[in-house]
Amino acid sequence: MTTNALAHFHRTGDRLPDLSDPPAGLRPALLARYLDLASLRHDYPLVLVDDVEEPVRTLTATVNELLCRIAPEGAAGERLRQHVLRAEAAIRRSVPEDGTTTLAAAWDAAQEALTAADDDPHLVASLDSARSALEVDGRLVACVSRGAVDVMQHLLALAQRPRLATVRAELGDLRRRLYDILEADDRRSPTGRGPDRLRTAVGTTHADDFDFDAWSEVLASRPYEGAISESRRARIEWAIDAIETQRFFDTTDRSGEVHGFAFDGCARAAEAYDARMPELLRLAKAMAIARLELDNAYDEAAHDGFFHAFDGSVLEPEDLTPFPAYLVIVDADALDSAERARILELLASAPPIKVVVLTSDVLGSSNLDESVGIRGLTGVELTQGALGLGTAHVVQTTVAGLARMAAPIAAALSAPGPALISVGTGAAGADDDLPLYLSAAAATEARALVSLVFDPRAGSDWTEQVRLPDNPQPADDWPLHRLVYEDEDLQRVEVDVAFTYADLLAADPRAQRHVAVAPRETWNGELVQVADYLRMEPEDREAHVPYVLMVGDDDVLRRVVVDQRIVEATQRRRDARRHQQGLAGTRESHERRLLEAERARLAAERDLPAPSDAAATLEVDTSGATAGVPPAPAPQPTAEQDAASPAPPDEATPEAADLPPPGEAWIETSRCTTCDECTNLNPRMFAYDDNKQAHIVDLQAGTFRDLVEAAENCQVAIIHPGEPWDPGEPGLDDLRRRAAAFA
Amino acid sequence: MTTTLSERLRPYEEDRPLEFYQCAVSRWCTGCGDNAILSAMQRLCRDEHLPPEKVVFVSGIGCSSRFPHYMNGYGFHGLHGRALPVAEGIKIRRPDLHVFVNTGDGDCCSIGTAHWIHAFRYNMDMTVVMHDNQTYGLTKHQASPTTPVGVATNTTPRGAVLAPLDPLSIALSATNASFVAQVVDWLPDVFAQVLSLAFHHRGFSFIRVMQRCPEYLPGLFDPWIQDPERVLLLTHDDGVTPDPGLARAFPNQDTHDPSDLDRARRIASEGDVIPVGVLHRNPAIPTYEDLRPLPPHDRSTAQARIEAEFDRFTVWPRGGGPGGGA
Repeated sequence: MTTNALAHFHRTGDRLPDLSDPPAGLRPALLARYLDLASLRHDYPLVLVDDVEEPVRTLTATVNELLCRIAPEGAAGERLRQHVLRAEAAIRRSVPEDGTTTLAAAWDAAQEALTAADDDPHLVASLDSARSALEVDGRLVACVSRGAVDVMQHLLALAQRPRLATVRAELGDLRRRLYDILEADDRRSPTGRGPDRLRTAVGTTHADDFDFDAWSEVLASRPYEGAISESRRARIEWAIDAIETQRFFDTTDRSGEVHGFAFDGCARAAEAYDARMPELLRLAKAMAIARLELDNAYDEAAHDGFFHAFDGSVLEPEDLTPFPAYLVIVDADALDSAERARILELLASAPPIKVVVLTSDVLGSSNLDESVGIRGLTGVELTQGALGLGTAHVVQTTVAGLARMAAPIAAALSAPGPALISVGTGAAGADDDLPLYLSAAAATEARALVSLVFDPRAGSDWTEQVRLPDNPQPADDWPLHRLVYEDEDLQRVEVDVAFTYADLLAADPRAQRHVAVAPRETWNGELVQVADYLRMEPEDREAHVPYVLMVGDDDVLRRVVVDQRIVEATQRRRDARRHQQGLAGTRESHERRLLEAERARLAAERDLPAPSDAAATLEVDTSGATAGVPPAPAPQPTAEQDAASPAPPDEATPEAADLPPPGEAWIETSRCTTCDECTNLNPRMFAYDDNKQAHIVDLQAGTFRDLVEAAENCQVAIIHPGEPWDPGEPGLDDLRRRAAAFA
Repeated sequence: MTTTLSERLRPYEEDRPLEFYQCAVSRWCTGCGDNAILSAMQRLCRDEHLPPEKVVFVSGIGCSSRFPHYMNGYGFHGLHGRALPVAEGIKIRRPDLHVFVNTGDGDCCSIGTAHWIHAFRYNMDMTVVMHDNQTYGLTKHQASPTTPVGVATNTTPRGAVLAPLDPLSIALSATNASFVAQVVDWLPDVFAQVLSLAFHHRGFSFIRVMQRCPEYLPGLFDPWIQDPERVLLLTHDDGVTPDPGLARAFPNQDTHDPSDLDRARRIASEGDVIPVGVLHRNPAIPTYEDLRPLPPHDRSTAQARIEAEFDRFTVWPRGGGPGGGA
């Protein structure tokens, strides 16, 4: 057995006779430690909490938070901690997959089971006190694809609840206040002022004290300004009817069934949306009319035409935000071509339809045996297509990342317009012993399903719109992990292993034709890990054979050679991910960050003051300059400082320029207090301006005496009479003397 | 960002002349400072494009309280000293209305003092203008709580003997006071600025207006009108920013930060000079409406509540009643 046989297999996929089939149950070596998932404090089960801030929590985090609160540090709290962790482990083992249990119920069941098996009184006390201190409750969700559906429904309901409550309240408010308009009109009408209505209004107890006919006559003497117009009444009644018969919001004042908004197919959702469009338009129109009516702003000349031609074209996506969103949950692997195309059509449109695509086969895109045929789009490729549309909110994650990605998912569900939530729910075909949580997490690790967020409203270019959160070691092509094992000599060995797409593929039973176990005797320098192989120049690859590390049911570490097909698929995945990094701007920004850090380090090294400079630095400090900055040259006056310095007194300011020539009469209009003195004295000479402040309109409309008397009467002494213009006016000498006080 | 349908349909705000907000010919004496307050209020309504059906003016009794009659809007000319409780009732039931209160020194600082102090504490969103002419003018000149010592009135023919109450210091000491300002009616531009700031403050805005009464106290303010040095103009980026002309005419200025309550109290208690401007503003104090929002009024639930209340006192036949004979 030589490396040649392995190289032949790698290049052609042809298994020479001495190369045996790989044993069943091989899985990536890095996953070997995690197979007994129930004994690990991993993210599942999730608790769906009725809390908008943190709607999805992990059981682990919930218990940690509880222990931080109730278990004191040190030995005193240790027993309580251990007991509670036993309960947590029991809960984790017993979570049903149908999502019907709550945390409280699961806790009680676990507590009962534990205390039945162990009569330690401390255990009972610990669990009782922890149970009573448990502040959160909610449904427990297991790591199954149905769990992802539960999480989506929970997030959507929570994200929409405040908004829907606001709209429901507004609808009630609009309806009530529209009725108020009609009722006010009724009360002002002659009938409303009639004796019968007045009697009803007073009630029976004091009815004898009133003369309703006389009262009605008094009221009738007040002129009736006319009822609201027939057209307005009809409009208000129409709006009330539209609000009372709408089927979008579950309000108390309405009749008939409310529409459902959950669908299991895009075509059905689109059909329902279209069918309900006339109803939606009717309600949107009624609400718009009602708001205008209540502001008394409905202008028939301006608005009648608009509402007559009211159709879908006048609505923007923002106008649909008050309405409930549609939730469509589909399984990517069960979609036909028409349905897949329909998804992209929905995502390119405006309706608030939230499409959740569950992909149980994240490896589907590299289906190795059909790579030259025509095949359907996978969930991952649908995501890529939605990114290209640039219209819909997109979130992609796996069922293992749901707790961490809950916030972006909630944002996508509550944003206006369509959204695509693509959730990887495992690698179909992977062996059944591998827990779904592990295979889903491995899909993210292997970059088979990159965790990403696309928010079209976050900015105007890709870099601002695309984020790649929750991806391990995001700066590198493949995440690197430490693998610890025991060699033939029972010695501990530690190696750094990259977890690549090939590692994931090699564990897929469908890919068994493409992998071969390298016998122990062939392990030499010619065998290289796939990650290293991909980094090689093409000519260097000639002399090497790529492998991945795998472990079977016997817990023996094996090098498994992969064929060219797998290497090519892995390379495609690497390049696709680099493409996404380019969109998100993380490849460039990563380099920029490194560069900045390096520059800052160099700068810090250069500016670090030598110990002998310490005193000088202190001295500089006390003089107010900043330490570490080279002494600045003598400060030069800058333009800014010039602007800040007090301006020299300038008599030619606007106010001074407004002063009339000496001898002319004027009023300091801006200081006028509207006291009516001057305007009553001579309304043709003095008048008010737009601000109801006095000025002189016509000096010739009165006498100098008028002017002087106005100045004397002016409460705030702002009238300046100037010089008389008619030398023949009697008593001028006296008037001049009096006017001098107001010069 | 696109706009919603309702925003697109909103009509253009019409520019209205000041006269639009005048409802009837005012019957105050010629030369009365109330006219200055009226035109300042009309300027505010015009500049803020306030529709008449969205404003309500509430008053008590006195010259000042004739105010609602002259404003084109809702008005409530109520009982002596009770303007504030009425205004609070209106605000809690109709939060969409802009509530203004016009009260006088007698109305506010004498019979209405208790309501006044607690109105600060409630901090409901409204603007209160206290017309302080330092006399009871409507009833022909009796001493009011703010009449200066020595001023002869019909009730104090030998001159008022008690020291006048200082509305500013009381306002600045009241719990939850969130906006306190003082203006003089002979500086209309400053008044307009302060009124605008008060209107935009979310909470209980109190403005004391030093107001001339040419009929009964002519010349009372002349020393201050004639000597600009005796008016202290409080300026700040968050308060009054006087235009250059005013700044020159009133050189006695001081930059005062409205968030500095201690300094505001010191300024208010300084004797002879009249401080003009915003003394105190604290937008962080929550309003009563925010602390205890009322559910929208619904006649059917209101009726159900009243019925339930009556049921509590009803004598039911044995075994009857809403509780099934409990």
